[in-house]
Amino acid sequence: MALLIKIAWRNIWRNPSRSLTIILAVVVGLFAGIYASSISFGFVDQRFENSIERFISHIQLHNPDFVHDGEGFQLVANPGEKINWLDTSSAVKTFSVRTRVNGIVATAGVTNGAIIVGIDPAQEKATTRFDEWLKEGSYFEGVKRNPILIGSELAEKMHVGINSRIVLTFMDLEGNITSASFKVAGIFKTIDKPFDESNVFVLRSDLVKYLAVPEAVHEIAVLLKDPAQVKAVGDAMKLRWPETSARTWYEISPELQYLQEMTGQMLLVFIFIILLGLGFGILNTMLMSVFERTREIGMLMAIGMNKRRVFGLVLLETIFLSFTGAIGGMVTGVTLVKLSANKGIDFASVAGDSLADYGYGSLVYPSVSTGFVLGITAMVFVIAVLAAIYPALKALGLVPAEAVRKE
Amino acid sequence: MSLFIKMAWRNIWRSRRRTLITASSVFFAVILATVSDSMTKGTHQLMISNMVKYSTGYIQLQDKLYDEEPSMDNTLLYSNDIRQLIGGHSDDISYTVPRIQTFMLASVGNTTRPVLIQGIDPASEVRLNAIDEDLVKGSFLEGDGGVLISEGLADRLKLDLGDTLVLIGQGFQGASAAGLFPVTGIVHLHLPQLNDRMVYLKLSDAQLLFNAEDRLTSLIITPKNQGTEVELVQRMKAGLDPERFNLFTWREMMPSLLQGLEMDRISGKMMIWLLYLVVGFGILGTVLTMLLERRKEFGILLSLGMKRKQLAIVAFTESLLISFLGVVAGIAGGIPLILYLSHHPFRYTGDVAKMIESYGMEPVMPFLMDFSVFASQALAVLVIGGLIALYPVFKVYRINILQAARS
Amino acid sequence: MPIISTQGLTKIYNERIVPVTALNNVSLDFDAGEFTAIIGPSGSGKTTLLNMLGGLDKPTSGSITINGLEITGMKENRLMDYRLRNIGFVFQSYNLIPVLTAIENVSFIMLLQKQPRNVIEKRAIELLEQVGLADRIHSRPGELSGGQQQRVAVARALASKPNYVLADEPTANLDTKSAFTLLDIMEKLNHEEKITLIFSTHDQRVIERARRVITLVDGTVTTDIPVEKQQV
Repeated sequence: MALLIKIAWRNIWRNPSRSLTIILAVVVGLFAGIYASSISFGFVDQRFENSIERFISHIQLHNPDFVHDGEGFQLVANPGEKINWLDTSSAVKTFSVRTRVNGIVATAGVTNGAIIVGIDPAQEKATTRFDEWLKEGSYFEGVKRNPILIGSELAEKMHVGINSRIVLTFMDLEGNITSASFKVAGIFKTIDKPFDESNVFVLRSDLVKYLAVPEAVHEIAVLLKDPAQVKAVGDAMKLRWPETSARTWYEISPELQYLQEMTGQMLLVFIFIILLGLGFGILNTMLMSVFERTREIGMLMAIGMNKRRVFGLVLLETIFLSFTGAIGGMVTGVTLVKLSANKGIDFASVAGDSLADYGYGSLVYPSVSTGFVLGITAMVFVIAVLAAIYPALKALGLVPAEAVRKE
Repeated sequence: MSLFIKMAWRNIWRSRRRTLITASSVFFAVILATVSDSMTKGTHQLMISNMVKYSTGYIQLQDKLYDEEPSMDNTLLYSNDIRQLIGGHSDDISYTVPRIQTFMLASVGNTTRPVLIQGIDPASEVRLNAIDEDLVKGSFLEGDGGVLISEGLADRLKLDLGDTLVLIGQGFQGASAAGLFPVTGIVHLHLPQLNDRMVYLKLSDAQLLFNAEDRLTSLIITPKNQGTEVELVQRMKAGLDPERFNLFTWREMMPSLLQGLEMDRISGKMMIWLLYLVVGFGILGTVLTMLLERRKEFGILLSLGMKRKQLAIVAFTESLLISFLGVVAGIAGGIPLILYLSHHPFRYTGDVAKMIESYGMEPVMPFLMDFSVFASQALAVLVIGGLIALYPVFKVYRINILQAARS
Repeated sequence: MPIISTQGLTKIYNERIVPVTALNNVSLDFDAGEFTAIIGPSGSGKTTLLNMLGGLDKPTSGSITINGLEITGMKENRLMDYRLRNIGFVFQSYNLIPVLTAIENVSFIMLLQKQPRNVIEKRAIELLEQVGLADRIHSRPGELSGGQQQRVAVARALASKPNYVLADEPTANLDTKSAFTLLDIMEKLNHEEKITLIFSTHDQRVIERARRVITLVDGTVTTDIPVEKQQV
């Protein structure tokens, strides 16, 4: 009841320095925990968005065998019909038609395995904003015949620059080995190093010339207007084109879906551990507080405050202690997150390029979800209750007669 | 002096419960810290040894130009001076692993894939990474002229023992390299990226194929003691012509791995320091209460003639002892725990296991049993505990004797 | 009809190895409106007896009946509730909740009894007026003198409209003036409102005002004297 709450709150402040120490501990613990978590979430968000918006797109269409084998002759059936449908569908924002073959890129001395991807520049630009990855040179301009875009790591390894010549060797769709010479029009650098090292990009119109099948399509990547529609559109495509594999992003990269969830869970565990460490301090503080008030508690029970209420009093005090700190920590934490979320944090100075090895960019926008903050709140409550149990039981164990008898 | 320590020890047991709870919080933090540290160190060690075993080896000798331009033309000649150099350091070198490698196209029937060809010396290669233990079918390059292919590649090209593989590529100094090879063995490789594309030949067969007699792209050198590579390389460089050769350790060849591990280490450390900080506040709370309770006692002691310095020593020791108790208990508990975990590492299952494998690691969480793990925790706690213990010292020097004794 | 009746009350404490008999076969009756002092040397069992009368402690043998209701065998919860509604307490010290003001302390009991809000506030002010602290209703115990604190304690003890009030050495920590003020108030309440007061005390000042004095020595009642109240 209200009076109990009043008593509990005022009791905390009877020993201000001790209470403040614990409260400060909780503030610091949660503040740091939330901020660190927000950075992790930022990484995860970045990965998620990048993966979908810049690499996987929402839905990908392939020949079902191609998904497993990746062979050149495993083409998408009836590409023309599909392209028409995609063009006229109201759910589709853009799509990119691609031709892919496995091959080798070679200069005078160096050879490297690579996947040769033929794209339509305008489609690709609209679907994955590939042009924004360009570091040097231009997006297929400046080179009239057989332009090629290659990753910066690969370019370095093979000692090529803009306008260098590269020979691509691959098998055409009839089983003959073909070679063709391409000229570097541009050098790109994504945030995914393995991607950069194994993919090179040419004009689809150029590539199909060598494949002897002008309508050779291996992959169509689709970007939807409304990401929430993904399942619906995916199912519609599966129904409509049973002979083609239509995979949604979560079928292609299931771990993306789990990444956010799993990261959230892991971070809650981390914060729980911090709270557990704080729990000891809270328990100790409350215990000392109870023992200092032996006579007072005895008196309370003598005049008629029953055990339930005494327990409740100790519990309330513990909760107030914990939550004062928790609110302080969460408010400061979330505020800092919001402040730095605008500009983001650049980890380039700390981690250099190593993040790209794992597919992460160095610019991160910290964020925390309300769900996460609520989760923390629940955990603070649990810890407060747990920490209150022992002191509350001790308080109850003070038999009124003895407590009053003590002089 | 020992009297003061005795006093301090007995004093902390005056409020047994409080001391025990505070020490428990330190114990808790230390256990968590040792487990986490051991886990990090174990995982890193595993990652390093995996990466080293399956890619660069601990030390690599290369032709000077190979690093910049990894082409067949920049191979080194395995001449007598190299043999002598190795011989000269035979006390520190366990064995060497010669390799010649490049990308080529492999084709079977209608399918072609780029593959990584490695010409190896089976006996020494096996010493490096025990690759023969994962032999799925056939033999490990026992006869001449056959190829050993990785499982994933066999799968994609639908190859079995006895089938013929066509290899096409570039050899030494522009010579074209092509040949037919029977598949004499299939092996499973742990890193998925390698499992899809490896073709092994006997060194002599490869050198013949590339027209590169006695030439190697790299010579891996394995030191007798892991961890001594950096220093061994320094010594070996003395006898090596810097104009013709490069001698690298894995750290120089995989700098992003190093950076990535460092980042992981730092973020782990930060979490632990946050936990210690939070527990430290708890200790501070206990110390504050202790001081408050004994203000009168201190006043009396000082007025009886005890010097401030002596009282300060007692107060300091008391506070430090509580932390110390926790650390000792934590280490005593941690040692058997880590010992157990180091022999029974945690195995991941299901989706998580798959995700870990996609990063190229085995889904195992290893723990390192190492003195340093415990030493660093002990140090951390003593530093924090020491800092906190300074507060009572400060207070003792500031006490007004008369007021305190009368309070 | 006595409001409190004890029969053969005995209490033996098993402290360490040697059992201590705090009360030995005490049979006493108390009537409504009494102003009674229980006296005796330290360790005579005064406080133990008072604890029994207050239902704070259970006898080893014997019984206590209050208004016809035997409380000896009562379960803890029911006993607590009984205490809340029927018995008032004033202790030697630590009577009040330090973080509540005087009026909050007095209201506290009534809130525990779940009385309606408007009744509580009115009665609390009334009681504090009766003990002469109308101008200090918003002061916390820390802001009041020892005597004032005890007066608030009396007001609080009366708030539940108890059958009787037990006071354990209420004047022990007070100077003469405060003690007299307190006793004047308690006497007035006893006289006008017919509040039954039972004291356990050493204090001569209390004994002088009592109309009945019970002496306990080593757990046994040695004298039980109704005293003619001296008119001043």
